[in-house]
Amino acid sequence: MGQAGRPVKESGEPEVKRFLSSESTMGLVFILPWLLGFLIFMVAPLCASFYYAFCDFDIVSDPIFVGLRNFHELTMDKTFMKALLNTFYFMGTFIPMLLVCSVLFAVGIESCPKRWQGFLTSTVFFPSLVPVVATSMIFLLLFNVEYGYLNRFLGLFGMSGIDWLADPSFTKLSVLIGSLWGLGGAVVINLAALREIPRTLYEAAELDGAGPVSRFIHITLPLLTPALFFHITMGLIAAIQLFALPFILYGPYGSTDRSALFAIPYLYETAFSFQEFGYACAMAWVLFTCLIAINGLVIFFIKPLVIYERG
Amino acid sequence: MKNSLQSIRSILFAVMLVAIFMAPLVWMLLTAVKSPAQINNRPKDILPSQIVVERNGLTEEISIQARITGPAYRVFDEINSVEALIAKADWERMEERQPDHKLSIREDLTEKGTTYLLVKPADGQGETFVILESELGHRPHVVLENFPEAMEQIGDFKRYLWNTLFVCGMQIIGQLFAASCAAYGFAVLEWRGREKLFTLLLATMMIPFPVLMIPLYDLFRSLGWLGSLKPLWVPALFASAFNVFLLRQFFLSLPKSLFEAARLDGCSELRILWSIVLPLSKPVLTTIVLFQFLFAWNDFLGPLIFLTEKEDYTISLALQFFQSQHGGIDWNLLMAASLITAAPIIAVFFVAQRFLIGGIAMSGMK
Repeated sequence: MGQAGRPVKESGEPEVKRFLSSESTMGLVFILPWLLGFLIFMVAPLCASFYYAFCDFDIVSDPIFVGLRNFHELTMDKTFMKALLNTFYFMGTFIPMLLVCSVLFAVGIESCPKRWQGFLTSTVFFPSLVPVVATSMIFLLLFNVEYGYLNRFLGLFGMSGIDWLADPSFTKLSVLIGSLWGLGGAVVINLAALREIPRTLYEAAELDGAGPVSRFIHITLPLLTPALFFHITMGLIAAIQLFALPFILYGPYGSTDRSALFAIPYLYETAFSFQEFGYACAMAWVLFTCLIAINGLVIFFIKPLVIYERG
Repeated sequence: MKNSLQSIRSILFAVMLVAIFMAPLVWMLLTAVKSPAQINNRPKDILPSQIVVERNGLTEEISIQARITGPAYRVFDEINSVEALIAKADWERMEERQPDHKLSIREDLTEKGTTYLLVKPADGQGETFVILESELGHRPHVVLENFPEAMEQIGDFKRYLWNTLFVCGMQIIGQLFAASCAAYGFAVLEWRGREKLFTLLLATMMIPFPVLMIPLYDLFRSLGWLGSLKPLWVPALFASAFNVFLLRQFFLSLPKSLFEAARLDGCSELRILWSIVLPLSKPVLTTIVLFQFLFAWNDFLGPLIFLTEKEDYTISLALQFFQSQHGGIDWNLLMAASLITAAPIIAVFFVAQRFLIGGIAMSGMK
């Protein structure tokens, strides 16, 4: 695959006409609706944002080149460091929880009677489609000390009331809970992967005397690794872009002590409230670099563990 | 034995799953139809209800002013001219220490260990009176008026709805045309560099929007698009990587002989795409329409940054604006507004969940 271009037949036609009718040109023409958008709304902004990261820029006047000043200031900006650490903290808790829960739920659904499976899948999947603003409102209510049922539920187990929306030791957990509520997509993908696993593998293992736990560890889990790897990649992008839920639950300030301040809400505040667009671009590039680096680590260390069935 | 254990486990699992994922939505729905009185006075209630008492053969809705366990007095506070309940022990202490208090006894509530309630008709009209807690009744009470009320309070709701639908519609139309073309170029036509460009396309899905948003804001500002809906739909006229990816996967599964036969018949590539490939692709096109609709309807950061005029707001943004103005007080209205925002998604889900679940499962299988 790859170098597929057919050799163009020599027929003595003029160069130009041959060029226009060649499949190469045809291909480019067809992908133009993507390519143009890619150039105008991705490549150009990417370059501009890279340049602005080295500038003092308030949008209204022309950007002034200031070299590495923005990045230097970032290293001394305690609030940014906090937001960055919170984002990494979220990433580090959200992704493992996403993997564990989505596998447990998928395996659980798969083990239920066939006629329930459709209903249960829909139940888990639906919350992931609810508009994020509405989801945030729902959790604003659930976490409310007076109106939410979460505290009352915990009360059944003798736990005293938690001020989810103000107590700095619980604010990040609230964001995590709210985000995990939308994990339905991952469950659906896991279910599809589970159904691809040939029954015969399980039957053979059972004949060999493997118990359910052993079958899960030696058959199910390895064959789910491609799906899990996909969740990790997608989870990284989602986690670094975390915005609407904490922004609505805690406002641009990020609650008491900025305990729920994440990178993108801080970036948003810096750019659109304080007009420090250059500084915000520098922030964006630090984040982007982190994302690429983490992704690189994941590809280097985790991808070799993924078991692809067909090559 | 093993079977019944298995089914008990399944039932427990199913109940847990439904509780975790549906309870927040049920809570939203129940809160959305509660009366303001219930929201203000009885935050602990689960079901939407009103409290009533039987008096003179009529069932009357009331609101509770005070609650005390007897023996007690119903007293009148002349300074504030309100009625109150006070325990007998407290009354005696007060007689001793503040003989000049301005309270006068209205009623002697003698029964020891009985809980008395000082209540008032819920509409605020009429006298307060005392009842026993056991006389209190609850009656289901669903306030559907919260929905029109929420739409009223959120601002120009019709306008926001129209804005959102317009953006959704433009994005869908744009994606259908642009992504089909691009996917055809990537799946059916063969040309040099195709695979490399496609890898690049996949890689663009890794670029976070926040890296782009400031230059985009700058671009739209210099184009004079701020203050209009254009920033939300014009870029969507160009194919998005995700849609191209989904369509390409589908086109690749079509038999090659189909295209070859059509070419031999002298069909142009555009014609093959339009009259042969697209009619065969209805399921995946439906999936794209649905996903694009969900994406546009749910988007928050885009509208938050690019929409500067209130009249351009989309539903999501209007809801957040409403919350930032009224949040923490009118929970019933906030939940009613949230439910209205989620309603089209619920409808789409019930009609087309097969496509959505299929589409998600497909996107996970590279």
